[in-house]
Amino acid sequence: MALAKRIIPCLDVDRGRVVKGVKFVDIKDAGNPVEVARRYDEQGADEITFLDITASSDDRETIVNVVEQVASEVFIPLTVGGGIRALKDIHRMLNAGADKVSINTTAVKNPEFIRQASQHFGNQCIVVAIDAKQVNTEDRIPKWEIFTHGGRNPTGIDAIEWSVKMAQYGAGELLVTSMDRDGTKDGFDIDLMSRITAAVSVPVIASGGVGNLDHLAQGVLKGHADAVLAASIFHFGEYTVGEAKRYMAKQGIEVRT
Amino acid sequence: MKVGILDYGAGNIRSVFNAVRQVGFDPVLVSDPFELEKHSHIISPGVGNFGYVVELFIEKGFKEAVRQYIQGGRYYLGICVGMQMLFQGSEESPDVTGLGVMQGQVRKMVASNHAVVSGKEQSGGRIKLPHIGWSEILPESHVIDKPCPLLDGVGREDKFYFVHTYTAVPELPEQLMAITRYGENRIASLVGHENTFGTQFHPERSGRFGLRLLSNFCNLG
Repeated sequence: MALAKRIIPCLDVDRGRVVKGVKFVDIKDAGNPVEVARRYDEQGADEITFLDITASSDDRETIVNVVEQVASEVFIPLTVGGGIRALKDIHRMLNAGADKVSINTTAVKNPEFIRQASQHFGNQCIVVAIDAKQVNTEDRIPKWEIFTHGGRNPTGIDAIEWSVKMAQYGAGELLVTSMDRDGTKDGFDIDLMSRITAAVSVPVIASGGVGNLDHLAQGVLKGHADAVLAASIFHFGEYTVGEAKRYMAKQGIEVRT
Repeated sequence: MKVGILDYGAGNIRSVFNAVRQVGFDPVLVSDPFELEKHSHIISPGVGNFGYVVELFIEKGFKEAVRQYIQGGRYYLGICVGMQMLFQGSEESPDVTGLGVMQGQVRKMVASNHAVVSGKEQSGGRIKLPHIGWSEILPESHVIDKPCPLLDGVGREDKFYFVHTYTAVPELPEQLMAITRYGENRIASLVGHENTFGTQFHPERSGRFGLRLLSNFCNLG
């Protein structure tokens, strides 16, 4: 009877190809985005997220073409992130067939952009992506700082405070990635996830570190995430989305079958 | 069948367009209200703020034209805010009025922090807004006696994709075809009156059951 917890495969796209790196570096090729998206849809994915990691702005148009092609064949929600800097970028992605856009660096540079974007397009299509990394504190109380530019630039901003602020500014969802865990297969940073889910009242998507099906379940059960995002466990055929759902259902989690 | 999709600047038109094509029809984008009469089936998407959507609708000359189209008895399907707009008005934007084809208002849903009576609810049982994700729709009891044609081939447990903060509250129970429970909210997920229908969820984003519902709509008549 409850709202189903969502499983969201994430496709990092570089110049039109799906790639996957470890800790934001060491990139491997993982296929054609249209084929990969279609496969996940058939397996029962609840949503698909594309993250455009193309470095050169000359190649930015390729992600628009990817979204157009995927949207004409796949009938579940699509989120696109990477390089969203202005309202016109959001407009272009939504027109191409995306349902939501995910915004990271631009939100940090100009938080008002999130307010404008959600007023203009509705908060349901504005996802704020938060890349957080644990930093040492003298009194050993855990603290996470947010990073921009694909994890390269520290900002000095506290991740929990930032989450609350972004929800207030009009983010419809938060996509929270632990940079300490991303690509490690050690599981989500549950401490980080549970603190953010307790602090905000908008849905939270947990990301970074999934290496097995139990990690997905723990993101919901212990991290209290509304959705779990993973890339490599699905891309390289270790598990299907269907297997992930059967596992989560066994743990008592409501999923869409 | 001639299926038209309203193009007035506030919808996820491409998703709807692609989905209608996928189920075997060749839809036309309708941006001129005078073109409405050429169609037997009209789908109205709508995403965003109620007032913003209604004002665009008025600006493009659709409000009166759509009312006349519906009164003419042809098939109409409103999606999300396109559905909410069928009602008289919305708490989200008290200064504008809806089409008033169905009686009732659109109201904000209730978020809550306390646990729900459900063994399966995680996230500490919190009901968050917006309501984003896949939820099941439950046909109302009168629909069991007189099935809603849009639900042909759709089972009781099947889930659809929702993204919204407001929900319509129909005054006439016979116009409410299916509800969705979300915490203490009783969402009007499917409404129907004669040949006019509305879904709060997004059939164009709801996988195979969503496509089935769109196919059922396009095949009416």
